Amino acid sequence: MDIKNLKEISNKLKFEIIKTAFDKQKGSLGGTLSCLDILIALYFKPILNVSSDEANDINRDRFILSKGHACVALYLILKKLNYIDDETLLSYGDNGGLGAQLDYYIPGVDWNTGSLGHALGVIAGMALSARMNSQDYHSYTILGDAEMSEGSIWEALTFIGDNKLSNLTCIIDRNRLSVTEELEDVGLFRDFNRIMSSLGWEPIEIDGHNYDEIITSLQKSRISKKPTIILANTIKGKGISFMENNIKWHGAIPSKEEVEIARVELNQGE
Amino acid sequence: MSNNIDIRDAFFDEIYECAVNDKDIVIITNDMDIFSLKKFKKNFPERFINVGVAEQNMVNLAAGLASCGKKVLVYGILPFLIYRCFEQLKFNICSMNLPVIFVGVGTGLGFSFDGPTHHGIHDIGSLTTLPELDIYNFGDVGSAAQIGKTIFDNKNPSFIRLDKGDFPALDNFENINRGSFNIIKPIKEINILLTGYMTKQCYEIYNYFSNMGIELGIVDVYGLKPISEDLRKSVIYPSKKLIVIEENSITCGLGSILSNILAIKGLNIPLKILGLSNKQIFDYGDRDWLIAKEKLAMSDIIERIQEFII
Repeated sequence: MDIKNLKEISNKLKFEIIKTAFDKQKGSLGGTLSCLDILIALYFKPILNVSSDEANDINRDRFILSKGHACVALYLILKKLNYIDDETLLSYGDNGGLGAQLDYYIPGVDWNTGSLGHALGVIAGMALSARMNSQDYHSYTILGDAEMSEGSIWEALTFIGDNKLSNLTCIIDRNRLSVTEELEDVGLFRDFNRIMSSLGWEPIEIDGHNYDEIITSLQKSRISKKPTIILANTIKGKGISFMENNIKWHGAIPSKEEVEIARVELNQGE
Repeated sequence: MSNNIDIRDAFFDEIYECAVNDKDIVIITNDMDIFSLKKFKKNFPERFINVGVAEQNMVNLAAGLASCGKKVLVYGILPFLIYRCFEQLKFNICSMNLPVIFVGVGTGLGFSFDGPTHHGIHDIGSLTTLPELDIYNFGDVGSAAQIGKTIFDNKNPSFIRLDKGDFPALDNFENINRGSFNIIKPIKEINILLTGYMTKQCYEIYNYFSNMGIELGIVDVYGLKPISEDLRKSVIYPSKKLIVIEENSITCGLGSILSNILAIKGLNIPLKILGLSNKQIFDYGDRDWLIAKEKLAMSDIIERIQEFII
């Protein structure tokens, strides 16, 4: 799919995400919108070699959305790709329906989410299994930038680098806002390229809303001789003027009027 | 009771035989090495992964491998497979219901000179909170070998508490494989349930009371979770009195598991738990010296049983 179409999907899904939050009075909009373009590139370019016809194919690419609070974006994508039906999608937020975190029994979802810091080590296992079995699939994860502080992330970073798991790509949604504060260039981000290179990774820094850069980096990671870590600079609340970079929108729910403003800004008709 | 062999060899020799025939079997460790694994390492080096001292990553890695069809055995010192990586265990192994096998060595006070960081005396309390997890605790080489043969058939995760050093092969009175327990001496009105390290005391206890004209049933319980219907119906429910002897805290071990069963079932069966007091033990010394300090030397056990049954 070309970039023009990907951008159209992006605007459409942005509005559906906001509308869903309003309809269900639930959601985590800021961090959902910050990683949406990466998800769209993965699923609609597509980068991921997956199919709803064979959702459990042993040779499919693996993907874990570690920041599972962005699940609504994935639910909408899984619906568009026929992994789940309308009824399942609409059950989000209802008693007995889809929840605010991903569960592995949802078709197309490879892993449970809800606690941060786990996905990188898990996809390391998936990538190692592929290497042991001489399988060609690639393993991906999207992590939030705040979870890079987890000790388990650092354990996985060193293991993956030392074991040269080049069939693995880690994408960091660097939206620079955690639940409570701004995330400065500290820790890993103080000297990202140098630190990651020295750990044996191929670091790539991109604009996480620029489809050219997203796609090029993901394609490059697929043939890299080293594990790839993509630092995707993103904007929390991307695409809606009053939400962008506003920490309030980590968990705030829009009013009816705000939904209408978003509709206009995203060029979505009635 | 036959000749003693190292219980780790009894278990891992069977694991090795499984691995010869199944190339998906992988062993992961946090920088632990034992003699029992040398053959596996030598013959299947590509399937032996030392992640270094990084337990959180070890468990996550095991989960990822298992989700892709690998049959993963995670090996390390018992407390280090649980406490640092408990959420990994709960979240990535148990909530995903992956059949990963954890083998924690150094049960009870096995690492007697290393203090509470190395003791495995409260871990059953933590592990029983994980609904999907089976727990095994061997007291003899027979059960260790038996489970080693079949553990890869499990469809859900397992935690094996594996002792170290020489252990006997206990006689099985019935010669029936019940899968999680062995009846060593026939069930009576008063029955003693032992597990793990303390199990080998069973003959001395039995003989003492038998010589006094008191016949006690003796059961080795090596499957702690779930407690099978078979054990409930053939041993627990028919008993007039129950005694548990174990090298675990009295608050979290076989005794507490049984007390929970009795309470839920509403059974008024007096239960005596001879276990360790509920504390972190900062005394250093031989294992049996520590156990004796906890009033679990043979003379104390006899006295405490007498008080309870007579």
